[in-house]
Formats: sequence, structure tokens, C-alpha cells
Amino acid sequence: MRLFKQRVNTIRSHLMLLFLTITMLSGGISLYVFFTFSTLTDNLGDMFATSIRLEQVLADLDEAHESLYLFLSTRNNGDLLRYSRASDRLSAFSESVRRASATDMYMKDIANMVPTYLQKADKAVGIRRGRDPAYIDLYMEANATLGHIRRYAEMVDLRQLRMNTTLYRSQSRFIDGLKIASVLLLAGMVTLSVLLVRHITYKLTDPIARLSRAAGEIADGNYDTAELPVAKEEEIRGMTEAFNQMKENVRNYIRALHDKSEAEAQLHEQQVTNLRMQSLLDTSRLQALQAQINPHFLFNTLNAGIQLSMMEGSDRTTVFLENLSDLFRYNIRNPDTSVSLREEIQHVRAYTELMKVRFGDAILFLFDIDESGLDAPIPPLSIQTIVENACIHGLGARGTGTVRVRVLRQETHVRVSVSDDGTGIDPDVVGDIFARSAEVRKQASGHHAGHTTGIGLANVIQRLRLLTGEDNVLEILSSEQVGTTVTILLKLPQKALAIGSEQEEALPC
Amino acid sequence: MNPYRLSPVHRFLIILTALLLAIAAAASIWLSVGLAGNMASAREIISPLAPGDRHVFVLLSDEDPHFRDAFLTGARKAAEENSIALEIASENGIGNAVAYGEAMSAAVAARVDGIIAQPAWEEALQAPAEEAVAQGIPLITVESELAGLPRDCHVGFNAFEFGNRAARLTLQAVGRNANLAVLYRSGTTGNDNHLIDAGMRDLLYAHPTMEMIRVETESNAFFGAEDTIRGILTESPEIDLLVCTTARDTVAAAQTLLDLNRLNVQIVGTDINPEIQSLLDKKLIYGTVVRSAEEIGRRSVESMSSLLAGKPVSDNIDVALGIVLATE
Repeated sequence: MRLFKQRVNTIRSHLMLLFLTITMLSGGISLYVFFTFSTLTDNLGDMFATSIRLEQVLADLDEAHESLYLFLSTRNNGDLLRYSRASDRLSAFSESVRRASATDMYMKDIANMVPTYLQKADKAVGIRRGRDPAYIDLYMEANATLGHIRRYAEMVDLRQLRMNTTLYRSQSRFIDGLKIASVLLLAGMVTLSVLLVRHITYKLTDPIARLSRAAGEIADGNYDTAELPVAKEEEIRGMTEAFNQMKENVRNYIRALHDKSEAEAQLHEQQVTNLRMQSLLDTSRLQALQAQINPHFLFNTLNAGIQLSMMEGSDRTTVFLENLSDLFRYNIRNPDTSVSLREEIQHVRAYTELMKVRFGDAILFLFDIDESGLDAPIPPLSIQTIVENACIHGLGARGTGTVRVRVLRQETHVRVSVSDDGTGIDPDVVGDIFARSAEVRKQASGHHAGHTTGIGLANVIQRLRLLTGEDNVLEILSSEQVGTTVTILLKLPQKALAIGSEQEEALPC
Repeated sequence: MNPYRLSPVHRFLIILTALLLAIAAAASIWLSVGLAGNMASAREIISPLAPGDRHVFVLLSDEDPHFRDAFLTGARKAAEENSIALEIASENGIGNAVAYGEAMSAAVAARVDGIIAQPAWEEALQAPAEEAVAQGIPLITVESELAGLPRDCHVGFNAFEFGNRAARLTLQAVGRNANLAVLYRSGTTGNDNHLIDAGMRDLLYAHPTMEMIRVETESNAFFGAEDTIRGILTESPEIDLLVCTTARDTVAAAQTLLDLNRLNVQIVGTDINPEIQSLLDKKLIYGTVVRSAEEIGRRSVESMSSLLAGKPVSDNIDVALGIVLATE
């Protein structure tokens, strides 16, 4: 039933129904009018068919009788031939009436009288040939029969006239009525067709027009139009429902985008706030740190200690304190500004001297420095952090080993590597380091506080990326129980490259 | 509101148009049916002969219209039952010998299957009757007999019995001592007249005080009958009762008595029709001997049907006579 309703409620079925209805209506009316007038025409023919036939019979009888008379009078063979032909025609008429399934009684009488007449006439002809005068009586009898036939023909004509009069009156009334009925039928059919066509046209096109207007509204950005009413026709209903759904979806999508952008804006604002807070926190921490350790006091105290040790002749203590002072001075630099590699190596050397004092000969620090690459910029405390990690994590468990710092220029770049022969780094840890490199502040917030300067390897990687603009600035190669090599790739500044090329040109061959 | 539904105005217009269309269509169909009916009834004028129907020619005189109408009523009913098509020579009957003879000759020439004739003019009927017999066309006479006429059957009334009943009515009306005049129709009914006379005398002979005058009236002269009756009453004022052997004479006699104010003269008439019934109601007629014309018509067609089927048919078929009195 639902399937049937779906099939019936389509534009196609409605249009077909409309066209079929109009076609059937007009065809029916045309057929009716055709058959009616066909019947009228046939009746008209019937009205006069009998009279025409009778007229012919009477004409044949007249000819037969005249030729009979002439033959009987003159015995002319030509007249006999005429009589014979007329006689044949009359016999044919008589036979046709006899064979007819239904006939007029009087016509049957006439048809039967004709052979009676012909019988007498033929007898008269036969006798006349034999020169017997008895033909006269037979002629009179035939004449009498002819009189009967004529009288019956008159009766038939009279009756036919009465019938035709009645028929004519009936047909006239019918035609008059039919004229009016035909006009009404045609007018009604035209009006009905116009109304139906108008209704169907509006019914089919109105939803499409509404759809078009609604689409225009949406094109103008107005998504708050009322939902379109659903038509019955399957095709339009599908379109309307899809359009309504699409409009709702677009409206929801826009709302979702709007909500998302608001959320992102809020998140961004939150992030900005967090960054600001973190910055403030760092600043506060630095300030706190700096406040806790008054640099003037620290450096003055250290200078006092250096002087004391000099006065006491403790050269080693003097060197230690000088290195310590340099270290602290280097530490309180802004970590976001870059220094030259030369300064960083200098700082690393100072750091290693301090480490030597702590660890003695347990850790051997080796430096292999290419002077031509020392102009490369580098974030401060980068190499120092790596050396620090090598000492604490690489060699810390064993307590002894070698840490090698190498600087090697490679045309426009400088490779700085820190190797140790320690326990190596677990690959998961390496991955963790790179993953956390994006979270600088977390790393900087004290992941390794206690043994280190507080700036982790992840922080170093992030600052190197920020400085160089490259992602792959640091490489960690490690094997367990073999050692670890951390390599930094730095870019030489243009000025350093220019000076380098001048020096190469100046070198003797 | 569903925007796709028809507005009330449109719905009204469509319904109205559809209604007008239906009315126009119904009117057209009604007109067509009416025309077909009219044409069918118009064609009935033609008297169609259906296949299988036997064609029987009926020839009646114009003397007694009521007898003729009643006869045709009975004849048509029987014809319908027996697949016989009746060709009536003249609905109003034939009023002269020439036309009568020609109609009979035409029927013979038309080789009809059978002829039923009410003999009116012997000379006009004899030759065609012989021709019919020669051609094997069965002939049945009705109502009155014609001696010497070659017919296959006669359907009518027993004239002798008729005379008997008329005499009985006469005795009832005037008693044994009375003068009566019996009016016979002249023309072809001579045989019947004799039998009627014999029948009356058969009953009245026992009453010799009954004086009976026999008078003949012209068959088709209505006013002639009045003259005759007036003449009788004038010439024989002692007449107490008139016996009329035809319906026409019965009515004429009553009218004459009324005109002459001779209401003391009784009338015994023949047959029953609205005029005679009215006269009976007014007691201008004592009573009538009724011959059932409808029964004669019916029996004649049935006999013809039997003859055409080759079955034996009685030479004489008498239908029953009835009596209708003024007091009834």
C-alpha cells in the first residue's frame, strides 16, 4: 500500500493522470458526437432507402408492363427483351426481399405480388407467341396485379412518409437538444481542463518556486527562513526534505564553526594568558632567584674569596672561584638571546674546570675545537647542558669516563658534538626528549632541578630550533653501555662566511 | 494550511464544472435514448415481419366498429402467442364491395399464408376465395356464414342458438302475447338470418299469439336502419318489441324509439358495446344476446395457426353466446 501510494504520488503519475483525463474526456465527447451523427446519417439513409427501392421497383414494373403491352400488341422482340430484362430485375428484387431476415409486411406483399404478376405476364407472352387470344385475359389479370402492387406501393409510401415525419420530428428535437448539449459538453470540458491544468501546474511548480526563493534566501546568507512545507509528490518531497535538511545542516555547521572559533579564541586567549603567566612566573622565579642571590653580593663575595685565596697563595682555590664567578655571570644571561660559539665553549671550559674540582680525574674532558667555526651563534647554556647531561646521566652511574667536545666547521655550517662513553640513553628516553622539546616551559620549569642549571635538553632543542629556524638541529646517537654522541648543527652567519672566504683566499698555496 | 490544496473557490469551480459536464452528458445520453425509442416506435409503423412469422391477412367490414375492435383485440393477442403477423386490410374496415374484392385479390396475389375474412359482399368474395383455394391459401370466415364460399373453417356463433336466445329474451320482456319485429341485416348474412329466424320460431312456435314480422335493413346504412325502424313503427304501431340482430340496428332502434317517444316498445338487441351498455343502463334496451367478438378473433387466429401447421381443424367453431339484461 505504501509503495502504491509512493508510485501514485509522483509528478509523472499526476501529469499522466491529467493528460489521460483530458484525452479521455475529449476523446469520449468526440466519439459520442461522431457515433451520434453517424447514427443520424444512417437513419437518414434508412428513411429514404425503402422509398428509393420502391421507386426503382415501380419503374421496373412500369417498364415491364409497357414492354409487355407493346410486345403483346406488336410481337416486337425488342420489347420482349426489354420486358425480359425488367422481369429479371423484378425477380432479383423479389428474391432479395424474400431472403431478408426481417422486412416490412407490405414490402413482402409487393415482393410476392411481383412473381404473381410476372407469372401472369410470362403466360401472356407465351400464349401470344402461340397466337392464342387468351393472352388478353392474362394481360388483364397481370394488369390487375400491377394495380395491387401500385396500391401497396402507395400504402408503403404513405406509411414511410408517416414514419419519416415522426423520425424527422424526433431527429430535429434530438439535434436541437444535442446542439445545446454539445456546446455545454465542450464548454464544460474546456473549463474543466483549464482548471485542472491550472491546479496541477501550480501544484507542481509552486513547491519548486518556493524552493528557488528559499535557495535565494540562503544564498543571501539568511539561514533562518521557515521550513518549506512538504508536497505529496515524491520527487518534490524528496527535494524539499533534502533542502530542509541541508539548510538545517548548514545552519548547524555554521553554528558549530562559530562555536569552535569562539572556543579557539577562548583557548588562544587562555594560552596567551598562560604564556603571560608563565613568563611572569619565570620572571618572578628569576627575580626571586636573583633576589635570593644578589649578584653584586655574590660577585663581591666571590671576589673577596678570590683575593683571600690569592693572599693565602691558594692558586687552585683562586682558579676555582674565578671559574665559579664566570659561571654564575654566564648563567644569569637571558637564555633567549644567542651568544657566539666561542663564548659558549669558554663557558663550557669553565664548567669543566669546576667539574674537575668535584670529580677529580674521574671524568676526562677533551676539546677538539675548529676556531673557524666559533663565530656561529648558539643559544647560551646549550653545550653546557649537553656536557652536564653527559656527566650526570651518561657517566653518573659508573662515575668515570670521558667527555669529548668537538667543534668542526663544514663550509656554511658548524657541527658541535658532545660524546661520552657512558651508559647510553634508552631509545624511549630519546624519543621523550624530542617529544618534550615542544613543551619548553615544562622542561624549564625544573624537570632536572637539583643537579643541573634547570634547563633541560628539550629546552636546548627548542631554543636551537627557534634560533636556526630548522627542525633537525640536534641529533642523538646512543648505544647502551657504549656511549652517547649529541651533535648540534649550527649555521654560520654571513659575516663569518665572508671572513672565512677572505682568509681562504689569503692562505698561500 | 497546506499550500498545495485547492482553494475553496477553485474546488467549487471544478465541482461545478464537473457537475455541468455530467448534466450535459446525461442530457445527451437521455436525448440519444429518447431518439432511439422514438425511432423504434416510428419503425413500428412499418409492421415488420420477423423471420418465422406466418403472414395472415385479415379482412373486416366497417359495419360494426365495436365488433371489429374487439375482434382485432382477440386476434392480435392470439397472433402474438402463435407467431403470426396480421395484416389488417383496413383498420376501419372496408365499406364497399369493390374495395373488399380488391383487398381479397391483393391478398391472394401477395401469396399470404392465410386469410381471415368477415364475409360482407358475396359477389366480391367468391372469385378471390376460389383463387385462394387454388393457390392453397387457407381461408377462414368469421362472424357470418356464406353458403357456397370455399372456406376451410368458419368461426362465429350458432345462429340458430342465437335466435333461440333472442326468443327467450323476447318472452321474458313481453310475455307470450305480443307483436314483435325482427330486424335482419341484408347482404351476405342470408344464411345466418335464416338460422336466426329458425331459432326464434323454434321457441316461439309454441306461442301462436306471438306475431313476428321479419324486416331487413341495409348492411351499411346506419340512417337507413332508423328510417326502416321508423317505418315499421309507423306502419305497425302495435309492435311491442323489436329484435335487432346487429349492434348497429340495436342502437338505431333505441334512438328511434327515443325520438318517437315510443318507450313502451322493448328492444332485444345484439352484442355489447359502450353505447348499448348505456342504453341498457337507461333501460331503453331490455337485454342483448352477446357474441364475444374478442373470442371470435382469438379462435379464428388459433384455427389459422393450426391449419398452417397442418393440424386438423373443425369446419365450424361456435363461440359461446351470452345474455346481458338491463337489470344487471
